[in-house]
Amino acid sequence: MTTEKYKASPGALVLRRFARNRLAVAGAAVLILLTLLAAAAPLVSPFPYDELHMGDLPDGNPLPPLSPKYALGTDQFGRDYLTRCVFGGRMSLSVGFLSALVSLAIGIPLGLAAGYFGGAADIAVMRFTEFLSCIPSFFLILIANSIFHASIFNVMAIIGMFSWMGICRQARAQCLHLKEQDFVMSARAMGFSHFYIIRRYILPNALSPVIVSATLNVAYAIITESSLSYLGLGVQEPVPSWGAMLKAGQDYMRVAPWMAVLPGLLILFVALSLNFMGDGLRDALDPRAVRR
Amino acid sequence: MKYLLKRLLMMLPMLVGISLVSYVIMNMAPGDAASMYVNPEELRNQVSIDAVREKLQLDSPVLVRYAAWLGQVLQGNLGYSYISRQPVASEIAARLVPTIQLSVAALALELVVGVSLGIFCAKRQYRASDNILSLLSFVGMSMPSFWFGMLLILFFTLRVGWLPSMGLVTVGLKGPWHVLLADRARHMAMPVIALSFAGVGSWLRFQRASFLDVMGQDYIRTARSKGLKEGAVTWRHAFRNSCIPVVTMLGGSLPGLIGGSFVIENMFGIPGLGRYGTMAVLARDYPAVMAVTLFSSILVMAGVLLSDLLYVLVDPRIKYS
Repeated sequence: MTTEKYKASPGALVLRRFARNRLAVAGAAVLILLTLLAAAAPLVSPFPYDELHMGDLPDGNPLPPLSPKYALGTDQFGRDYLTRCVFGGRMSLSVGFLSALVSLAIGIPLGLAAGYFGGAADIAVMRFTEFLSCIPSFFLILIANSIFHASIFNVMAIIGMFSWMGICRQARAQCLHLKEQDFVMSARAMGFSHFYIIRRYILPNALSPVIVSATLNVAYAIITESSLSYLGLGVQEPVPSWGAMLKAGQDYMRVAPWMAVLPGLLILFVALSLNFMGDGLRDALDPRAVRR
Repeated sequence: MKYLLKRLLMMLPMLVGISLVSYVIMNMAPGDAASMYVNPEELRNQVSIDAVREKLQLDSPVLVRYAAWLGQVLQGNLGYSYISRQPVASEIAARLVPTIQLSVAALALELVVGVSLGIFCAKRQYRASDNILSLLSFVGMSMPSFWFGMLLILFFTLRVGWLPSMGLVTVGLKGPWHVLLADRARHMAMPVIALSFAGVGSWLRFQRASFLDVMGQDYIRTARSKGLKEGAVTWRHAFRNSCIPVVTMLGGSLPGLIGGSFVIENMFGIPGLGRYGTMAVLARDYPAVMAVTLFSSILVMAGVLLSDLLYVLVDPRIKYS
């Protein structure tokens, strides 16, 4: 043990442990790259996402990848597939991140309140969580999406509203453990309000497992959005999302298999990166983790 | 026995809860089921719209209609589909079987493959085969099941032409039962594999972790020091104990399984609950949507109950009372 080790801040220690997990670092790199590409979509893509080039299709069939002008080919309307993939990433990634935010916004307050106050509040929240996690929520998401105007924000909100249960459970478990700790006792003895204690003493210490769970939620939301759009209940034409592109791709599988393969690969890469990152974060954020 | 009754009774309020939730969601619809019934030519004719509204009782408050619906359901009447005008109950009954077959087959496949690969990996911890399979398990967990289904169709139907990609049976096929069974199996193969792929990954990870955990326990060391063969240690002492966490997770995985089967049925054209439900949702066929909600919840809850009972088989220390 060197003294330098003790000088490192907790944040630096976490970063160092995370950096040791090569898969997690690769995941983070892929994710950052794809997010940047999606954010800069209008700059990097050669065409507007809904510009048709029917005239460039010689036999009416989509052009394959590596065609001149179209690096990843086109879809059945002659729209540039690279452009569609990048803009689709915009939709899919924002659905992923924002619906994870929605589930954090519901799960953390409910979980902390249940854990901190206990009693009837705890029982009510836990029963409700149990109820939501043992019903086939995908069908309810489907119903809700068909009822509300199929805008991207509704899709995000609805997915978030049906996937906060894991986060709530984590937050509650952390809170139950933390509220018996001496530093929380001392804060209580000093007469701080419950809200202040939860915000300043419990929340910061409860965050790490919650963050891990939120990472997995992002992957879940991206996959759920793709299923919804595949069923025609998510993002609507002409706006691309990876799921909506898969739906169109299925009809052209015989003549244009890349239309079904490319968006799926992108979903796979993103979800895989998130899963690796979640794994890496879990190990990195756990101060009791044994060094390997 | 008493426990079983208690659990069955607890399912009732949950079913009421979930059906109420979906009833209320559906009633927030800006559109109107009545307008779908009127000939588009007459759509501006308020009289015919009102006639349909009255017939479908669309004018009473939500809770009143929900109560009326619930009363009818308790008498065994699920209502009539707005679209086909057939009793929903008989339409659902015909579609339950394919969904159950698909989900049960997928669950069985993913459990058998996932658990055995999990033990395989645990026994070869950190060797090449373990690393590759662990990586693959992450891949399985990270892809939409319907995309994997597309890849299967691309290869098995379009490339080599071995398996049919649509439906449950070859239309018009006649023959002895084993021919029909083989035909059914050929149709079910890809949907079942697509649906179970993600599950294989997560069961592999669970089983691997819990097997490693069990192998570090004192009683395994005792068993080894008694001079037992490695096979006996693995199967008699470790296997059953390492299954406990897997069985615990079983109930929680069922909603995802049913949700996945909804998408897979649509993709492979399987006439099950999921395809029926999706069509009903798209057409705002309220009685059918409610029935699908109800029956998919019953399927999940019955599965959760079964998995809790299975728990006793794996861990005899657990007693329900």
